[in-house]
Amino acid sequence: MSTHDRDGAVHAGDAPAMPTRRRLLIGVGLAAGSLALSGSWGRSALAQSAAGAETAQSANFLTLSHLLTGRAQLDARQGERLFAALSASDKNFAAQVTALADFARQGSFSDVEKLASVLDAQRPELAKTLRRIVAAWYTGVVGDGPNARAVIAYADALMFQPVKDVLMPPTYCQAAPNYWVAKPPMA
Amino acid sequence: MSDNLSADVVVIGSGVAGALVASELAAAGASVLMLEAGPRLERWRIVENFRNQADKDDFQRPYPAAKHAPHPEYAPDNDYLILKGPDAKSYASQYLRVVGGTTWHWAASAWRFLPNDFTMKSTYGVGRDWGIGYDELEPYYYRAEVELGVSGPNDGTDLGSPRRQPYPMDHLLLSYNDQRFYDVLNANGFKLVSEPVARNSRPYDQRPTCCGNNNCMPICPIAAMYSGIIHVDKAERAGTKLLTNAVVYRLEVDAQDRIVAAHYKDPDGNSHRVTGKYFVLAANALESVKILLMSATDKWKNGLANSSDQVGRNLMDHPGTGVTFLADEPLWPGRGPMEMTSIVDHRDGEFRREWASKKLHLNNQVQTRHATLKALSMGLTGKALDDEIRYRSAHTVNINSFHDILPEPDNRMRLSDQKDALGLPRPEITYQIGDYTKKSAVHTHEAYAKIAELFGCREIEFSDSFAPNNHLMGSVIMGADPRDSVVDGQCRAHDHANLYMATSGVMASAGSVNCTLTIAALSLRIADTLKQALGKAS
Repeated sequence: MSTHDRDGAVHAGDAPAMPTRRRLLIGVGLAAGSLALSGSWGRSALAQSAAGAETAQSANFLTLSHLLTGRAQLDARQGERLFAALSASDKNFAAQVTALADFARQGSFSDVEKLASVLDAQRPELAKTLRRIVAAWYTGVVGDGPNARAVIAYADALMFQPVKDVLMPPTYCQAAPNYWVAKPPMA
Repeated sequence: MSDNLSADVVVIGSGVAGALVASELAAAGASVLMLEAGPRLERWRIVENFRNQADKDDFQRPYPAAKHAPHPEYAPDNDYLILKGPDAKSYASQYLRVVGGTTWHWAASAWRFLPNDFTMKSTYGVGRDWGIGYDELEPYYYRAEVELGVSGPNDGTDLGSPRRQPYPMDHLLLSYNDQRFYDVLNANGFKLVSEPVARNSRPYDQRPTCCGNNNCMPICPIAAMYSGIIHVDKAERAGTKLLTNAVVYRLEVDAQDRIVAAHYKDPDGNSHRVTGKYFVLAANALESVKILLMSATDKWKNGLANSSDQVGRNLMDHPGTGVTFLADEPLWPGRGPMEMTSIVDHRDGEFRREWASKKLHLNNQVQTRHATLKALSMGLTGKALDDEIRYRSAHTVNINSFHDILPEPDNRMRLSDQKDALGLPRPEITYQIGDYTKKSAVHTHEAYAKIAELFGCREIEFSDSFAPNNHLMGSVIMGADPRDSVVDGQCRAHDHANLYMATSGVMASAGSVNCTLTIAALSLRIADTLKQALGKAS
């Protein structure tokens, strides 16, 4: 018995079920991602025609996540899992994602820091949702205390990216012994 | 199934102590039966469990407790240990009931005790004497270093424990973080040293060189760090029969006070009995006490080996404090193993008459996750978030400490009325940390502040409340006098001629360093004693 086995949400990611749908989702995610880059919020017609409302929401979540994390590259499957976990922990989550996406689109925000500071002043409840989404992508974890679940594949959590030239996610080694002796970057 | 099994030596527990005894005796040709309460876990599974757990600070989590052989879990708390007394929380210890034992997760610090640690009463007038001295143990310390694979500073660094041979391996080169601390602290009146560790600095014993996976706790993914499982494997290859999920709940004693059998329950609650000529209790300092107390008879009303009434008393640990701050220069902890250096200027001296010795150690654990949690709590997003994560990962300093504590009979473990799933009593612990330790912690706090100042610190946070360090000592205490101790200098029960205890529970002082190497040395000595007794000595 392992932590992994006990966590339905985590384990589901390893289940071999519905490969066709998964492939489809990844395609949708990438498509939605490229739309996001061109600033076309919410026009995920492709997603809607492909797999229904739930998939469209998940794709919208991924599109929004590109803005909130400042990253053009996000894994669609991890996004799907995060959306499912965040939705499961908060029944209003999907509606908040829509509201947040609408707000961002209407203000033509291209920078999350700017968006966050405007939301802090005008829509604090959406600012909170924004930070929940950012925290989930960065830590890979959704929920608190005993309800916390690791949702993103461990080494894919975004927190490792700002330091990836110096530090590795613990358990991994991608350098030779004694690499640690050399002087690291001073900034 | 396993009823009527019999062996020259029955070893109860498969951690580093039991596994060393079993592998030595089996290799010498003795028949050995090893009983482990918990299950067998594979290294890859533990690594995956860790990667998939949400709380990466919970070192127990990758080792889910078995229902039939629970061990302490704290997130959430499974209330396995029932903790009482003014400092109950400071004894919220971690240990593992699995094949290989608790050295699956440790920092691999492989220190020898100091000569004066063995003679606290006669040298400093506090605590107790062990009844054996450092010199008797020195050859076994070396053998333990060879068995575990210890790398250490072979450059003449004096760690206060005289040695006849060099370390089996030279130490790993220090990380940039540790080297900066080495340079700055040693230039400012502190004594910071490269510490001896059971971690490979070159391929050793068919295990690889440390690659800096920075995950010694809770699991080294590549076995560059020693764990008890190494000697479990050796013991089995040498012919030891290992029974897993075998929860020993009673030792059976005959009219001559010799142990004749061990009774265990399987996970379904069925009882089994195994017999042997010699018994080695190696089930850790608390679980060993549990077995002795559960084995009470009409004659041994207070439990076996307990004519002194000291079984379960004199509980010790290394009460720890810590400090975290941001240095004014990037140090980048997290490159290399999790711990490489220690500050050792207060391990010994006349001050020990008044206050506790201690060791401070620099944490070289990756700070990315903590940095991220902090940056997120500041509400940051975007580039500011990434910059803050990078800054804190590079600049965070964390130092922790072990303080000595005196053996006090009132710090004790008893059998609780509350039972586990097999109906066996859970350990109930009463614990109080005295002024001897508290005085030292005040001094440690000042040392932290000085060190922080040397690194131009910001955001200093002291952790002054005593944290447990899981070094469980004193519960079956060693001594020369059967009236006030449980085992003699050979780790043999004063009350039972064929019962030995291979556990840190025998240690009569806590000193200021991790106890694993001392457990290993004492266990190898027990193996030698039993080889002689069985006519298997070479």
